[in-house]
Order: sequence, then C-alpha cells, then structure tokens
Amino acid sequence: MVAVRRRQMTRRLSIMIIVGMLSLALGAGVARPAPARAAGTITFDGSPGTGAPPPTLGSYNMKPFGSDPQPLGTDVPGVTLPSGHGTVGFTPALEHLQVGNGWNTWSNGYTGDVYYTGGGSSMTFTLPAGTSAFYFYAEPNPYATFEITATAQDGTTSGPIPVNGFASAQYFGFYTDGSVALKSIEVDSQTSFAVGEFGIASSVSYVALGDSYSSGEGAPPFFSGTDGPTDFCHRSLNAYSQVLGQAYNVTPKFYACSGAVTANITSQYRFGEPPQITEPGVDTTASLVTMSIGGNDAGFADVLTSCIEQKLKADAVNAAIGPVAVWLGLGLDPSCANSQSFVDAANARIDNVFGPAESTYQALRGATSPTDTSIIVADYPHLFPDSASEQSCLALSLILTTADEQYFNQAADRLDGVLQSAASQAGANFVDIRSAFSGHAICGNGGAWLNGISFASGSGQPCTLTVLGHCIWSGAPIVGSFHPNASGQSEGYAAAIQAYISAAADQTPEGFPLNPGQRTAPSRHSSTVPPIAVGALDVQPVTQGTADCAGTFQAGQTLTVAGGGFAPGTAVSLYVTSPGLGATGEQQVGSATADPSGNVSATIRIPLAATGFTPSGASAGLAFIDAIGTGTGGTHVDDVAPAGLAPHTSSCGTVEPYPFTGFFPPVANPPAVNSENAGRTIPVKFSLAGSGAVLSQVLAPGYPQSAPVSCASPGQLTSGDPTTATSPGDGSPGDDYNYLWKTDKSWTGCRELIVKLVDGTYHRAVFDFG
Amino acid sequence: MPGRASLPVLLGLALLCLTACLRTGSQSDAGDPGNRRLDQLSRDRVFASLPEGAVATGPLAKIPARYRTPAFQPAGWDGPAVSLTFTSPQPPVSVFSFFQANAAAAGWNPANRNALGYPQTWTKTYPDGVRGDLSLIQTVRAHDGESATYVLNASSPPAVSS
Repeated sequence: MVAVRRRQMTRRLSIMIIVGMLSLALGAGVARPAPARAAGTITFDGSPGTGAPPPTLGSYNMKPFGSDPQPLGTDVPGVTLPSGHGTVGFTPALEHLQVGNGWNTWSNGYTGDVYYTGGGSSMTFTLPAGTSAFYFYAEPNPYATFEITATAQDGTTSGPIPVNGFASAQYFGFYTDGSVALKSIEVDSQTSFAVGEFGIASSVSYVALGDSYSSGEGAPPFFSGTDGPTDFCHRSLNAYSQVLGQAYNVTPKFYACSGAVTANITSQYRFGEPPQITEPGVDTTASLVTMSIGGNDAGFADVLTSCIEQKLKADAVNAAIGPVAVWLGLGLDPSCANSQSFVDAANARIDNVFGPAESTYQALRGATSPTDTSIIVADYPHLFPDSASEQSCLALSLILTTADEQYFNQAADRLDGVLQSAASQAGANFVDIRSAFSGHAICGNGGAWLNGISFASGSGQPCTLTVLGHCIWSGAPIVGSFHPNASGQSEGYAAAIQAYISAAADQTPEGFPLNPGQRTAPSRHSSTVPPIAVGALDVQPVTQGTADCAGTFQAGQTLTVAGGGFAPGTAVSLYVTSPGLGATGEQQVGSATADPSGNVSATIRIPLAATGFTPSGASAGLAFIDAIGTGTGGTHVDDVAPAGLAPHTSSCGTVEPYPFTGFFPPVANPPAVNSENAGRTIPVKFSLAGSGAVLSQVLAPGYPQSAPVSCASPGQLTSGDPTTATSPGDGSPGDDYNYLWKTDKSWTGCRELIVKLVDGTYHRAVFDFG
Repeated sequence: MPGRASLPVLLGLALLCLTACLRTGSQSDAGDPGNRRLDQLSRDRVFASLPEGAVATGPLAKIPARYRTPAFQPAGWDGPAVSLTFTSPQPPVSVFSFFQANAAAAGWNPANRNALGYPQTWTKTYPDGVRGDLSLIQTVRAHDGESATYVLNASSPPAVSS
C-alpha cells in the first residue's frame, strides 16, 4: 500500500504543474523515429506508439505475457515467461503494481501488471537465451512528458523518445535478424517510470536427441505415434526438452528414443526412425542440441535386471531351504556385487562406452555449426539413495541388496566419468545432473524423482510375453522402471541444464554455452616429462601433457606408476583399459603390495594391442591405467573410475601408433615398384622403435596380406589374400622385425603387400612379378 | 517353518516372473530377412569411389539389423547400416563437393546442409521401395597438416520396426 500512496501523491502534485506543458507537447506533436534498421543485426521498432501491440514484430510472432502471480507491492527480480518457464530479469528489482492498483494510467486499454522503478531512473531487462524479439511499454511516473531511451546490448537504440505520463505508455520493440540473440535492454529516463505489457519471441532451433532418459520413458503421457503400434520411442510430453522448450519459447525438434544406443544417433534406425543425426534440423541451423546417451551401450539396465533376478532367485531358494542350510553355505548369494568377475565385466563394458560416446559427440559437432550450435550432454543420476535407511526401504529391499545398490551408484559414477571424459575430448558441454538428483533417488527422503519398479509407461511393445510363438500377455506395464518421473525430468534434468546455460560465461550468438575447445591429439616427442597426477596415481614418463588424459603413452612403453590411499599390506592390481584389449577392453599389467603408508609403486608395460586410434593419428584412443585394491577404511575397492572415486587412482593418456619408418632394403617403399621373380622368398624388414616385441605380437591378426593391383595406379588397399611365410619370424623380442614372405610362382603382374599392425596402421609395398 | 518361508518365496517368484517378462518380448525374425537391405546398402554406388587422395581406414563396415530388448524400455529392431571411414588431406569443401556429385549420381536426394553449404545428409528410395538415409560427417578436423577423418554412413529401416 505504500507504493500506491506514493504513486498517487506524486500524480496529484504533478498534474497541476505540468498541465500547460502537456497541452503544449500534445499540440506540437510527439516526433517518433520511424522504424529503421540500426547498425548491426538488431533493429528497433517504436511504430505502434501508444497503440496496442501488433501480433508481430519484424517477422516474429509475439507472445504476450500473462498475468503475474507475484505479490503486488513487492520488489520482484523479474517476470516469468508466457510459457511458465524461464524469466525476463529486472536489474534492479522493480516494484510490482497493476494499472488501477498502484499505477493509475497506461495506454491502449491495458490494465495488467506494470513494474515501477521506485526512485530510480533506469533499469535493465535481462532476456533468456535465444530471444529474437522483445517489446515493452514504458511510462514516466509524473503526469508529464519525459524522454525515455531503450538500448539493446549491441548499442542499437531507440534514441530519446518523449513519453507522456498521462495515459500514454509508449511501445519499444527490438528484434534481430536471427543471427544473434537479444540479451539485454537498458531503459533510461529523465525520471522514475514503469514498464509493462511485454511480449517475446524466439527463433531458437532446439534439437533434443538421446535415449530413454531424454525421451522421458518414465514420465508418460507420450506423444502420439511414439507409443505404438510400431514406434515405441516413447517421447514424453513431460520430457526435460519440453520444459526447456518452454523456457526458451521454442518447440523442440524431438528425436530422442527409448532404447537408443550411440549407433542410433549416428548410423542406425531404431523403431523405423532414421539415425537421429540425419533428422531435419540436426545441422548448422541448430542453436541448441541436448542429449543423454551411453547408458544402453553400457548395458546398465540389463546388468541391473540381472542383479534383481539374482536377488529374487536367491531369496526364494534360501527361504525354501531354510536358515540352517544357508548357514551351512548351501544357499545362494543374493548380491551380484559380491562377484568380482561380474563387477569386472560390468565395469569393462562401461569403460568401453568412451569410444562410441566420443565418436557420437564428434559426429554431432561435425554436423552442426562450430560457432553457433551449443551441444549439451547430460549424464545419469544415482538410482539409489545414499543412506542405509533409505536403501533398506521396502520397495528396494525386495529386489536388491544394499551392496548392489551401492555398486550401481558407483557404476553410475564410473559411467558419468567416462561420458565426461568423452565430452571433454570431443568438445561438448557436459552437465552433471547427479547433484540435482541428490535426495531424490528411489526411496529418497526428498521425494523420489526416479521410478522404482513402475507400472507407469504402458506395455512398450506389441507383445510382452510370448510362449511357443503365441502372445499370451500383450500389455505388461513394466517399462519406465528406473527412469526419471515428471519431477526428475523437470526439476532434475531441465533445471540442471537451464542452470548450466544461465551460468555459461562463453556464449553462442543466441546465448547458449559455447562448445569447449576441441582437444587435439598431442604430438609425439617432447623433452618435458612431468608426471600425470590424477587422484593418487602418478604415471611417468609421459611425453607430453600434465592434465588428465592429455599425456602420451606408447604401446609397449614401460611406465612407472605410484599411488596411495590403500590399506597397508594389501594387494593392489594394476590394469590398463583400452579399446584394443580384446572383448573386455582391459588387461591386468601388474600388481603391488601397499606399503605401511598405503602407497604402491610398480613398473608396468602398456600392452602392445592397447590402441584405438585412427591411422592418421588425429583421433587417438585413450588408455586408462587403474590401480585397484582395498581402501584404508577396509572397504573392498574393486574399481576405479576416471572421474574420481575414493581412493581414486587412475590416469589416462593417448596411445600413439608405432613409429613405422618404412620397409628396409631390399624392399623399396612406394611409389617405387619392386621387380621380383614369382616364387621367391622376399625378406620384409621394418623397425618399430620402443616396441620390444616379437613379430607375431605387432602384426594384426591375419596380416600381412597381398592382392593384385595396377602397376601404374596400385592404390592403397586394406585387405587381400593372406600371405605365407617361410618361417615364423619370431626371434627374441626387440624393435626390428623380419617377415620372410613366400611368393607364389603363379603370380604375374603387380601385387601389393599389405602389412597391418596391431596399432591399426597399414603399410604397403608394391611388387611387379613380370 | 513353512508358513514363514512361503511369503518371501511367493513374493520372490512373483517378482522373478515379472522381471523375466522383461526379457521375453516378441522377437520377429523379419528385421532384415536374408540381409537383403544390408546387401543393398553395401552395393550402393556411393561407396564405389572416394575423393582423390582419400584413404579408407578399414573395410566397409556392415552392421546387420538386430532385435534389441533393453531392460525397462521397449524392445524393437535396429535397422541395417553400412559405413565407411576415410581420411582425406583435401580441404573439406573438396570432399563435400565430391560427394555432392557422387551421391546425386547414385540417386541420393540432398537433405541437411553443412556450414559450407553442401549436403551432409541425403535420402533415396531404392527400387524395391525401401528408404535409404545417407550421411557424410567430418568427425575429426584436420590439424597440423594431417588429414581430416570422415564417416560415410548409409542406413535403412528394418523390415519390421518393432
């Protein structure tokens, strides 16, 4: 009420003083600048004057703001957008009034909310990312004519516009050409004033990709056509992308799909929908791309299902045989986390997500604008609560042991760390949503934002249970379990991503976070040999780089690793994880015993097959070095994640290709063509400095190979017929290799010898057999 | 104490049945019978040649259609796909220009375009009425005089999509 009295008193005083001036001003007419394109890409339009706001500004369809529910008479920092999400900010905060309720006059019949500067004579609007057009009205406090000037962030200005304080609120509109966003508008006056009657538009192109956590699997209802009969992508009206779309005044191009793996983004159809990267809008016009991906590549839900089945089976069997039999060791273990092999396999599968995730992010960067597209990757929350009491709630204790719940939270940390590393490597923004979900896991004290065993999402498939080819249960409602519900989508994912966008220091022209600089593969050979220190594990020597994953290792290289944080006297195993290391992607490379201070030191050798790079060397694979043992608290620490689980001892770096310098005489390297007699044995010699191996260890399986080629234009083949050697060629380990190639008497013309090494590189020589 | 044991047994069996249901979705064998669509993609002329100086980093990767049943999510088919990864020392404009012509000659219709103004995705309908999608993405930019890496990928929907 104070505001009302102040405002009305001011008007009574003012009206007697300036009535003459008012007549003069009106009689002279108020000169308004014609709509004109200002310098730059933002344009001012004040042409509506005191009339009603037109439905369009520039080429944009404007959305007027609705009624503001904030209390009248209070200072407010901003106003919510018409969508109900996101805000237009006021600096400083303005007093919330209404025409007829604290503020007496306006123009064009408007009677809604207005915001008063109090004693101030300037204020600034802060607009949400992606704003393309915004209008407002302004009116001075006194019943008199004062000049008001509005200026956008690039300096585009209305110039001083005379505005009469008596029922003559004036329209100020700014719009862009779509290449930049309106970020702020400063309003200055000769006196205090009010603003109100806002409208806004956006030209943001928002593409929402990803898997079931992005489609909104656990938060129905779903968009028509995505809940069967053939397409079960389950895109939800409650998905976080829908919330973000409202915040930025845009309808997302929504392609996320339940069950998607990275291949469904880059290369493969899912449910008859094309690879997400080929969908309309996934190109340089995209302003914002969001996604979660990788969980299905890691088989997270399948592993969880296995553990649930193990618990249920064990409980049933143990109850049936009775406690004595269980005590005698005849029962089943209800916890899969107690199985080291199970955990090792699950962890290896998680680590192997790095490559596909990094490639997917790289592909999306390649498909979109390097400067105008913001790619935001979100990770996955802890499914299970942190406290023992919450973990023991009825809904969880029936299906999982607390040990398994703890393991799955650690597995989520491991996966999130892998995804963060991949995003960093590829140059994508990364939003860690784990803290947003804190307290909101299944059975969480703060209220669950994740479904437990859920019956929410419908059948999810044409037939849930088939026996002997006959569908006997067509609608088992079970999908959507262990997925975010509507609150998780909105208050978890959307809120975390929106906060990340708002906090971004470096922005695209439309106000979204710039993609981080893409890291390039380090070059070989540096005299700088600092240790890589990540967690407690130091690795040296490295040829370049001190940051996590920035160092350079070489296949076959001998390294010294040193770490700490282990229980004194316990055994510690050392592993290397790399895409080249077979099906599990990891290999134990050493062991050590923790000293009385809990430290370990050991010498390891990077396995020769630890590769994963392309032959150009431009996209190198990462090798993780893990020390795994028992923690000082006595807890069994079976696993180490690059992101940092305590006691965390991990490091990673780039594995480079072997330094192949060409074939040695008598073989001449391309473009030379070697003239040889068919049937002769040809010594194929080469050297790989630092490899220290035997020939069979450095050759890729099935190689060398050879194939007929044109002598004039042999090309660069990658495969041919297997070759034979006159002897195995494996002598003592070393850096020099000699393959005795037995050629065939029947060969004529030119033939290319293709030598592929375990590092993935190809090396060729051409022979003319006459 | 059979009465005490029966409740957890029944609960366990009921939930076991419930989770077993997650793994028993309808799995038609008709995602790409005989790998016909995969073979059709593999034979597409767009894969027949690369720009001058480009080097394939491996053979044509053929990914058959497969039926996936991820837990707690709907089950269904992934379609067949074929991809070729190659490096090229030429500027990107030369690579995309090459494939603009090469894809058009192979019957592909351009869709999304990249920052250079060239197509980066295409669609086509094969003579048997099956849709194809093609994309050319630069996954690693050239630096320090080295080659850039590209992936050319073609895909088709599964014959049965769920």
